[in-house]
Amino acid sequence: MSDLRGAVLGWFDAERIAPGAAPAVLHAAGLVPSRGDWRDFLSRLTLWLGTGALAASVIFFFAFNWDALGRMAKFGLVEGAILIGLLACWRLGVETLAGKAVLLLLSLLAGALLALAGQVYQTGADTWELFAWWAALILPWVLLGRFAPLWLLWLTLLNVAVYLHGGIRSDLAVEPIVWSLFGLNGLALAGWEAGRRLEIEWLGEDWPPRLVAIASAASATVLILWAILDWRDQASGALAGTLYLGWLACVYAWYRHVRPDLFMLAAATLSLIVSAATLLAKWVLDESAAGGFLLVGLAVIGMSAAGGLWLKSVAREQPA
Amino acid sequence: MSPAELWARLAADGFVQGALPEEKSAQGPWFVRVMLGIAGWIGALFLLGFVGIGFVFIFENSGFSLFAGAACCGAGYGLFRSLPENHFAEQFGLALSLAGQLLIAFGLGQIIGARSPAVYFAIALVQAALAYAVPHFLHRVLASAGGGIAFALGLSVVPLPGFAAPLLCAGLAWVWLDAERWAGRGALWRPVGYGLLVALLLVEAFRTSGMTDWFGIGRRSTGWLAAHGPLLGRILGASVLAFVATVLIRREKLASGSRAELAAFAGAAAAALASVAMPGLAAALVVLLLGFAVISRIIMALGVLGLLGFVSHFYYSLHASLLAKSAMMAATGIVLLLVHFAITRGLFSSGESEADHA
Repeated sequence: MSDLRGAVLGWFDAERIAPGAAPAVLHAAGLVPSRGDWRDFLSRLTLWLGTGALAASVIFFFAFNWDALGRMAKFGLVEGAILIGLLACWRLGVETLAGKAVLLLLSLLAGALLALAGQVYQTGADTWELFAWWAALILPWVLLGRFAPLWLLWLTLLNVAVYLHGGIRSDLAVEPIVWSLFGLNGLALAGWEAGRRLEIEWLGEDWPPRLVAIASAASATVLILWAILDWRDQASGALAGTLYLGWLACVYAWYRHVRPDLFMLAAATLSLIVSAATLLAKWVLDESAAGGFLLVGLAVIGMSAAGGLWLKSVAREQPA
Repeated sequence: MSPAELWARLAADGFVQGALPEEKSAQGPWFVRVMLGIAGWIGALFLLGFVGIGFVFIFENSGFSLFAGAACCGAGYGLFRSLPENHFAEQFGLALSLAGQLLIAFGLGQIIGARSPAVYFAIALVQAALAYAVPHFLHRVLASAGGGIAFALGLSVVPLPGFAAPLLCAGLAWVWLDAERWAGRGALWRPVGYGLLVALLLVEAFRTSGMTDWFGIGRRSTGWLAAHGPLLGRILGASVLAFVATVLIRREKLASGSRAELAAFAGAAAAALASVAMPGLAAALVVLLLGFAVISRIIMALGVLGLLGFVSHFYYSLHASLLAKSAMMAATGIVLLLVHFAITRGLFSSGESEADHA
């Protein structure tokens, strides 16, 4: 489809489309939606926006902490909503899109219930515990749902829990967060790819693992930048460097040769350019400021040009 | 269907002219261009650092800044024109031009004064001229984004708070609603459309995170427009949303007075009214609708991102209490789900075949 899209838009650029024929050509090429496409789109849009709005409504309501409402009434409301959601899910079935939307709503309501418990009973628990328990409680629904966005929500909750946990002790704030997020997102990406390898049908779409890959690339890049810029402990810095290179090698081997995906290679290329530029800047900027800036700038330009050239050559061999 | 098969079909109908064009060297997928754009900006910042430290006098004199900036942009343009197939020259030209644009902005700021709206509008004009003149996809995206952001900052200084997003949405609608524009003259307008989209998302991010206050602009303003600007902006945004929806509904040529047509217009009106009460909703919905209208997953993904940003900002916005916002969300959610079930049960079906659709 993307080849056809690129080709048709190329015909427009080459001025080969007859005057006034643009709408007809786009329609014939499937580059504008049909009436049926619009109906499907609006059906999905209203389902997901409606679900999200209801979840937000419950969260906003409990965040308001309405004094006039007793604690039992508050718990009754959120638990009643969860019960209705479970019944709806049972009626609709978890295999339907509406059933999956209800599961997503239930997962968000579980967070509202935990927040309410913390608000009413003043448990003294840290914020990271809320997110960790939230992730733990919704795991059965996530497993049952077999739905990529639910897994992404679950992974987001884990990321937030890890981030907040690392921030509890200010003296250890950066290092454990960086290591934990690198490990968590790396494992998540590996797990996702393993699932795809097993040909699990609902893991077949490209966009969810690409989002996980962005998280993995971001945490790997932060890890190596931390090692370069804040190299206090030689052993852990060297370990970070080794693991980063290992991550790069794994991404290259997997997405170049096992399951070709240019997006992942582009993310790794950008990460490598940022890391190499930071390393070079650390070396040269102290020595000669102006010349150093020029050198790093030219190096970034050279690396990105070479990276772009390589990615485009790979693009000609494999689909995007 | 392969491109050649489609070409043959279109040629038989007289929709194409001349021979099937040879496939041009690929510009690469969108994410490769994003990677090159980010790297281009990093390179430009280092080049600027080199100029700032090595040639301090350029930053000390507005005339020198403008001259050096124009020279850098000119050199970038020259590289794009003379070495179009050379990747290093292309990337160097991009970084050089971006550094030049920053130098021009700095020079204009020195001459006009950073607290005057005129400086931002002047920067926006320069960016627009560069987007038009430099025939390079990525450069056009970045120049249009820069122009859009400068325009929004200018409006914020005037002060016309809340007007930037709806005006950028109007620009997006102007590009993406007209097939003769985004496809027919796509070499110019597609990158401009993407650039305006990037500008809109960043402007909304500035607004929701209060970043215009960090720049020292937008907060000190008083007066009627400053006080009522956000509401007027939301009304303008809702109007743009209603306009986009109306154009898209009319395009479907639904039977006049049919249930489908009435439902479509009622839905558009309801969404527009809701967006007056919910800041940020109109912009996200406009992006989402335009993205689907041109079947662009990138634009739609950015629309979804805008919706997520809208919900999270809506939680913190102070224009209504959390209880009122909860009630608004609950009512919206229930209505949307009812509409969903009505659509899935065919209540809004037009009763016409797909073949009727032009």
